[in-house]
Amino acid sequence: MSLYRNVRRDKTLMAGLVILVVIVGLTVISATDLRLLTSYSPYSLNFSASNLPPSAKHIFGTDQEGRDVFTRVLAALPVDILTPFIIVVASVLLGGLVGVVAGYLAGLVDEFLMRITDLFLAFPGILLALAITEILGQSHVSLRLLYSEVALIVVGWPVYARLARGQVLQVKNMPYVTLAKVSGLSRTQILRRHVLPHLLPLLLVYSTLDMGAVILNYSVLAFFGLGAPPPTPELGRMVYDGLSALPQNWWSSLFPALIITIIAVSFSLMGDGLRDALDPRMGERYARA
Amino acid sequence: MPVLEVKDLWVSYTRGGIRAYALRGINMSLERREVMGVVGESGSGKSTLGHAVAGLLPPNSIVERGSITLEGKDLTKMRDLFRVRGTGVFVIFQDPMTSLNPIMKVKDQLAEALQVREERESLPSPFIRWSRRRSLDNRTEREFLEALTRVRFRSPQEVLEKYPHQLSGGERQKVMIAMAYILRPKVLVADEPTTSLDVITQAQVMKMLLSLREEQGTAILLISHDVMLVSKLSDRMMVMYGGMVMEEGSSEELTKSPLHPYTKGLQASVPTQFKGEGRVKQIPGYPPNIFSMPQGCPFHPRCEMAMEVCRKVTPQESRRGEHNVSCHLYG
Amino acid sequence: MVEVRDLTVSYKVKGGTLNAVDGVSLAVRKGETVTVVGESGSGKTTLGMVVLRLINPTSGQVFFKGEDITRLGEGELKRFRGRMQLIPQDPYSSMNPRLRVGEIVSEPLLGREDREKVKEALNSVGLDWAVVDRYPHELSGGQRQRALIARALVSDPEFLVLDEPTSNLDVSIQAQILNLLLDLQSSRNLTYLFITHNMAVAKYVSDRVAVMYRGRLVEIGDAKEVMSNPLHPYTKALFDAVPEGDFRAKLRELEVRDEGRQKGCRYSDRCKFVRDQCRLREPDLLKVKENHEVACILY
Ligand SMILES: Nc1ncnc2c1ncn2[C@@H]1O[C@H](COP(=O)(O)OP(=O)(O)O)[C@@H](O)[C@H]1O
Ligand SMILES: Nc1ncnc2c1ncn2[C@@H]1O[C@H](COP(=O)(O)OP(=O)(O)O)[C@@H](O)[C@H]1O
Ligand code: SF4
Ligand code: SF4
Ligand SMILES: [Mg+2]
Ligand SMILES: [Mg+2]
Repeated sequence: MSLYRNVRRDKTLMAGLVILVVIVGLTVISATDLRLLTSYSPYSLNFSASNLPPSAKHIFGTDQEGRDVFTRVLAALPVDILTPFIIVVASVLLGGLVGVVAGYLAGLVDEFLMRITDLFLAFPGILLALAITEILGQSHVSLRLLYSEVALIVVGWPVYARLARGQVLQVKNMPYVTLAKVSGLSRTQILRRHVLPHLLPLLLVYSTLDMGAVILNYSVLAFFGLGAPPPTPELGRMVYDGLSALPQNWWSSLFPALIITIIAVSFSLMGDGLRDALDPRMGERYARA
Repeated sequence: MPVLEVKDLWVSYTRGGIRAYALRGINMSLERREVMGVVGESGSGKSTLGHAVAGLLPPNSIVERGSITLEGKDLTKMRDLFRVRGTGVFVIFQDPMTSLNPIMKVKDQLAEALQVREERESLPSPFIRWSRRRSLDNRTEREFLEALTRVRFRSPQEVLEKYPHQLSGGERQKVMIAMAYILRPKVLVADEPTTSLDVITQAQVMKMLLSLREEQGTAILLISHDVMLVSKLSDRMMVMYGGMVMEEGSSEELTKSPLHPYTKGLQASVPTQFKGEGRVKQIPGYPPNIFSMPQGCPFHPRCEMAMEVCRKVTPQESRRGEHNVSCHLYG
Repeated sequence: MVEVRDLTVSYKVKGGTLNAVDGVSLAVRKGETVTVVGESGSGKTTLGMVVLRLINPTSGQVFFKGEDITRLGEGELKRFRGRMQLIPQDPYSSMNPRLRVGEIVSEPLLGREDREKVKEALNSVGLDWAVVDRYPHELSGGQRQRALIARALVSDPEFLVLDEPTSNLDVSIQAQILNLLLDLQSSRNLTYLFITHNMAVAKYVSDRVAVMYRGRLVEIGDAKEVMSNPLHPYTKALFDAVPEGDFRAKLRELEVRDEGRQKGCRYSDRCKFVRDQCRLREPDLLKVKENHEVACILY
C-alpha cells in the first residue's frame, strides 16, 4: 500500500512510468499486428515516395527507399525492447547468483568468483561486445543477434555480481542476522528471510536503470550492423542508414535516435523513482530522530 | 549579561502535513563559563533546543515564536548560513562522524575551523585567509598541535595526518574538542557527547570539556539523558519533558531536593542497590510522541501524583526557592 | 552451566594478529548472573560471541552443561541453538526493518507456528498482542528491546548472553528493562552472562563480576566484594570514572595515558602503581580471598 502511495507521490516515477506504458503498449501491439497502428508496410520499397519530409501523411517522413519512418520505428520496437530486456534479465540472474554465492560463502569461493568478476569488469565494455560480435558474427550473419546478446550479457553481469555481493556482505553482518544464527536458522533460511528480500528491490532498481544503458549499447551494436539481420528494422541501424541521406533527409536518422533516447531516459527516470519509493529507511529515519 | 538567552521559544516540526510542537515556550539563560545541563528522556526536545541554538534546525521545522539572543544579537532573525558560521556557537554531536568530513584529514578539518574563526574575527584580509587555507604555515601548525596536545593526544603530529575513520570514537570526540579550542566559540552545545563511549573514555572527554571551559571561558550547554553525569558536571540544569522545562535550578539543589515528580522519577531510575537488595523505581510507560501529546501536563499519564487538573490544564512555570517548577503541585 | 577454559580468540589485523580474548577462564553457574565489565575494545562482545559459538576460538574450550561444544559443527550445534540466546545492544539494527514484530518474535520457533508461545512471551515482557502487526520503526527503543527479549524467550532458553542491553536506552527505560530481566531470571531460573560498561548497572544485576582489560580477566569475584573492595588498579580506575561523589575533583585528578604494547602487565602503561617488576611478566589471577581473584603483583 505504502509503495503504491509512494509511486503516486513521486513525479519522476510517474513520468517514467507513463512513457514506458505507452511504449510497451505500442510494442505489444506492433508485435501482434502492425497494421493496427499504421497503413504502411515497414518493408516494401516505394522509390516514388522516397525522402518525403515529415507531414500529416508521414509524421516522421520517409527514408531513401520510400518507407514510412514512423512505421519502421514501430516495427523496430519489439526487437529493440525485447533484446535489451533479455540481456538485462540474464545479467541479473547470472550476476545475482555469482554475487550471492560469493558473498554468502565467503572465503576462497568468494576470492575465486570475485577474481573472475574483476577480470570481466576490467574489459572495456562495449568494445568487448563489438569485438565478440565482429569476430563471431563474420561467418554467421543470422546468428549475429544472438552473439550481440551474449556479448552484452558477458559485459553486463559483473556489475550485478559486485552489487549483490556488497549487499549480501552488508546484511550478513547486521545484528539481526547474528540473532537469527543464535536461534538456529540455517544458511538457506537466513538467505530467504533476511538476505534476498533486501537484495531483490535493489536489483530491480538497478536493472531498471541499466535497461536504459543497455538499450543505448545495443543500438550502438545495431548501428554497426551487428544486430538482427536485415530486413528486420532496428532503431540503431535506421540511424546508420539515415546518415547517408544527410543533410537533406535529416528525419530518417533523427527520429529513430530520438526514440532511442526517450526510451532510455524513461527507464532511468523510472529507476530513480523506484529507488526512492522502495527505500525502506525513510520510515526508519523518522523513528530514530 | 548572559552570553546566551532563550525566551519563550516555540519550535514545530511538520510531517505528513501535520504540524506539532517539539518546543513549547522554553526559557533559558547561560552565563559565560557556565555549564547548563539539559536532561530528559529521548523525544523531550533536548536536541531540538540544541539545534535551534546552533542554527541547525532541519528544513521541516519552524521557529514559531520567541528569541535566541547571543551576545545581544537575535539569532532567529539572522540568515541561516551566517548564523552557523558567524556567531560562535559550536556543536559536538553524539556521533562525531556527522560533523567530521570523512574524506578530510584531521589537519584540514582543523584548518577549516581556523578559517571560520578568522572570518568571524574579520582580521586578516581575504587574501591572507586564502593563502592560509593553501599552506599550513608554521604558526597555524603550532596552533593545531597545541590544540591536539590539550586534548591529550600523545602523538599529535601523527593525528594531524589521519582520516576520521582511522580514529576511535573517543579520539574523534577529542578532535572535535580540539576544533573547539581553535574555534573559540562563545557557546558550545554538546549533544550527548559521550553517550556511545565507555565510562573511562567518557570521563576523559568530560575532563577535556571542563578544561576547555576553564581555559577559554566557554559556556557549555550539556545535553544528555544521563541524569547522574549531568548533575555532577553542570552548574545549573534543566529537566525537559514534552518540549517543556519541567524544573530548572542549580544542579546541587536539584539533585539534593528535586521537586517535580518527573525529576524525582528520573533520579530514582538510576540503580544504586546491589542485586537482591531492593529494586530501582521505574517510571511506567514511555515518553510521548510530539504528534500525540497528551492534553494538560504532558507527564500526567505516567505521573503518580496526577490530579484532575493535570489532565486539562498545562502547568505554568513558578518559582520555588531556588527552583523553577512547572507542576500543579507547586502552582 | 557454561564454562570457558583458557580461551583465546585472535583476529587478523593490519600488521599481525590481535588477541581480542586472551587466555580467559570463566564459569557461569546455573541461575546466576556473571557480569563482564571493561572499557570498549576489551573483548567483552567477542567473549559473548564465542560462548554462543558464533565465533570460533583460536584455542581453549567452551562447555555448555558439561558438554564440550568447542569443535561442534553447525549441524551438531543445532541441538544447542535456542537454548542459548542473545539480547543485543542496539534494538534498532537488531530488527530486520522489513519484517513485522510478530515475525521477528517468532523467528526462534523456526517456522513452527505457535501463537500461544508468542503471546505468552509478549505478555511476559509487558507488550500488547497488537504489536505483532507493527513494523519495528513504529516502536520506541524501549518497546523494541522488550520485543527482542520476548524473541529470546520463545525458544525457552536456559542461558542468555546480554550484550549491553540497556546502553542505548533512557535511564527510565533502562530501569524498566533491568527490573524485567531480574524478574524473568527468577521466574524462569535463567542464567545470564551480562556485558556492560555501566558500573551502576553491573552492581544492580550481578552475582559475580569479571573485569576485562584488553582481552584478559584482571579481576573476578562476588559482586559485593569486588564492587565495595576493588583491588586491581584498572577496576579502581573504572570506578573513578563513574559520575559519583565529587566527580569534578575526580576528573581533575584523572590522568589520561595512552596504552602501548609492552612486556609484562598489559596495564602497566596506564597504571598509577606501576613498578619495575610489573614489566617482567604478565601477572596471573591469584586468589586473595574466598570468591575474589585478582591479577596484579600488588597482591
Ligand atoms: N526532523 C524532524 N521531523 C519531525 N519530527 C522530529 C524531527 N526531529 C525531531 N522530531 C520529533 O521532535 C521530538 C523532539 O525530538 P528531539 O529534540 O530530538 O528530542 P531529544 O533530543 O530530547 O531526544 C521527538 O518527538 C521527535 O520525534
Ligand atoms: N571482526 C573483527 N576483526 C578484527 N578485530 C576485531 C573484530 N571484532 C573485534 N575486533 C577487535 O577486538 C577487540 C575486542 O573487541 P570487542 O569484543 O568488540 O570488545 P568490547 O565488546 O569489549 O568493546 C577490539 O580491539 C576490536 O577492535
Ligand atoms: S502537573 Fe500533575 S501530572 Fe504533571 S507532574 Fe505535576 S502532578 Fe504530575
Ligand atoms: S601488575 Fe603492576 S602495572 Fe599491572 S596493574 Fe598491578 S601494579 Fe599496575
Ligand atoms: Mg537527542
Ligand atoms: Mg561490545
